[in-house]
Amino acid sequence: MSFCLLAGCSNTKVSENVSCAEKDWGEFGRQMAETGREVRTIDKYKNSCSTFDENDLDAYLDGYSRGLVTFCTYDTGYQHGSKNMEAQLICPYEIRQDYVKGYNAGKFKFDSTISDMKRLRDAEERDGYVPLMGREADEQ
Amino acid sequence: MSMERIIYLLAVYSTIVTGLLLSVSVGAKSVDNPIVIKLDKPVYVVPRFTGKFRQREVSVAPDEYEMADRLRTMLDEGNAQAVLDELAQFYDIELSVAMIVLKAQIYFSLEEYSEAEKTYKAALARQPHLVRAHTDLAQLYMLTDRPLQAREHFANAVSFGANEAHIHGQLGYLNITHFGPYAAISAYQQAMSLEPENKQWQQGLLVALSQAGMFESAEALIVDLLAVNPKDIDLWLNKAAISMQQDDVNGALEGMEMALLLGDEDRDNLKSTAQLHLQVGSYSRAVELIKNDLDLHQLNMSVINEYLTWLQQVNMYSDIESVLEHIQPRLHELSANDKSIFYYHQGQAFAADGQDQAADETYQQAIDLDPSSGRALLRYANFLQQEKRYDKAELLYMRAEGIDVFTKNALLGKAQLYIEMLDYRAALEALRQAYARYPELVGLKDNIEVIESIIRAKGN
Repeated sequence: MSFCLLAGCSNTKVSENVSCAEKDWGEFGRQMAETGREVRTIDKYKNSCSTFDENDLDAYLDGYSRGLVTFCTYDTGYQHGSKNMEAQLICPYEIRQDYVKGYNAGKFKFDSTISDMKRLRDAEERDGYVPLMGREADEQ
Repeated sequence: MSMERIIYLLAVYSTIVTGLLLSVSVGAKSVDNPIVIKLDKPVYVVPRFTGKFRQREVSVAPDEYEMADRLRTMLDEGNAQAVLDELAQFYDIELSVAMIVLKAQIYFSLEEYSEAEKTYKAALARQPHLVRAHTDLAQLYMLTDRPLQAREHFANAVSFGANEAHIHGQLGYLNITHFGPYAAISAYQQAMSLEPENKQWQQGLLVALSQAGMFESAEALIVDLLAVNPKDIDLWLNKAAISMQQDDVNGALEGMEMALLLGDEDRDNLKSTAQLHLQVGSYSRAVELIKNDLDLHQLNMSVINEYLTWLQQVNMYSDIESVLEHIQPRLHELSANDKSIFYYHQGQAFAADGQDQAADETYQQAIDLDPSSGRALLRYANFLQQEKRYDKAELLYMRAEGIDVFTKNALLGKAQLYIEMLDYRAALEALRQAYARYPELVGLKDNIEVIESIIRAKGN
């Protein structure tokens, strides 16, 4: 992962393997929040980086807070729910509601889609529809 | 120059000198002695954080309910530090604003003001309209003597919906002390509308209205308040103060006398009431009050000196004697310097009464007790001069000349003495010394010329 960062590999996932020499803890914090990581992701850096100090922690937390503002939205929640992803419960209580509403709406859409597909399949089975895979097997 | 003109100029000169000598005393109406009515200033006693830990405007997150129950138990047991230790395990971002405010409140109650401030600010960063955080932070700033910041947060609390009397009152207090009275009137009115019997708000509003020059409103308020509390000493004193500001001496006296009747024993107020009575000419009441003051309080010669000087200004020498007789049995309580002042006044009273022998002895006592009392030296010298005891008078003038504050008057007194002794050369020398040292005495130039003419005429 570190090599990819250095070599500029394209990667949609944010690496958590940030070296201790990485100075922009604020940016790191923002990225962690925007990708739904818990705030305690920083703990392993606190413990393992000898240069990590109170200012770095403050910068991380500031960045994380800014990232939460981007993350904790209806749209993000909807996206997660509609893809049947697990809800990311990192949002502070006072801005959690929008994410939860969006998630529930997305999840409802996902569940509705699954129910529709199941109903369609059940109906076709009742009408004698042979699933494509079985027919092909017969023809073969 | 004719002899008539010389005599005329000398007469004018004598008047100047006498006036200078008398100007050593200070009268009841002088600008150095304004009438002061002692009132309670608007104050605000900032309550220590003693309230229940509560978070009215924010609520605990559902996933914190269990922790909240645990923390409540710890608080009920008085274990605030344990609550802090538990909350310290979390980053602030993991806690609800309610929990952060709780943390701040605990820091506040433990007087860890720096941590409390930081934590309240963290809460406000997430919820800027949080009234409780604004009011608590404002209280903290009051306690740590940062009034401008306190005012800002009280103002925020009010604009975000806080409507408690103490918040309006505190805002009023901060406005009046830092921004002038107009900014405070409305705040104190709001506080009073919620707690009309609270003396802090009453006093604050009265002061705000008075300072803003809204005397009619202030008086109307006092009348209103007195109708409910006719025996309130502070209200009567406030009434007196407002009357004074409108130069209504009789109104001021009414207020002061009512306060006295109701039991006010403040020395400054007694003194001011006596002063007012002297101004309106009710001397016997003034003397009665002076004696009351002397009976009620420790003898303070600077206060007594003021009283006696006022009485002297209006030539009430019999009253001066009466006051001195009142003090006489307690003379042993005074220091030597203070006794000197006592005898100085007594000497003046005797002299005014024509009791020259007694005046002589008493003045002598005054300067024996305090040889550096320039005032006593000059007064005694002037007395001896009138008695034509020039040698001793000259000595006393020379002694007074050595005391900086009295040098001018001593030189002028000496010059006048020499003129009376017809020793014009000595008079000229004294006048020249005075003029050289005090060139602002422009009238002296003419007098010097007159004396020079006399000397030239005598020489011819």
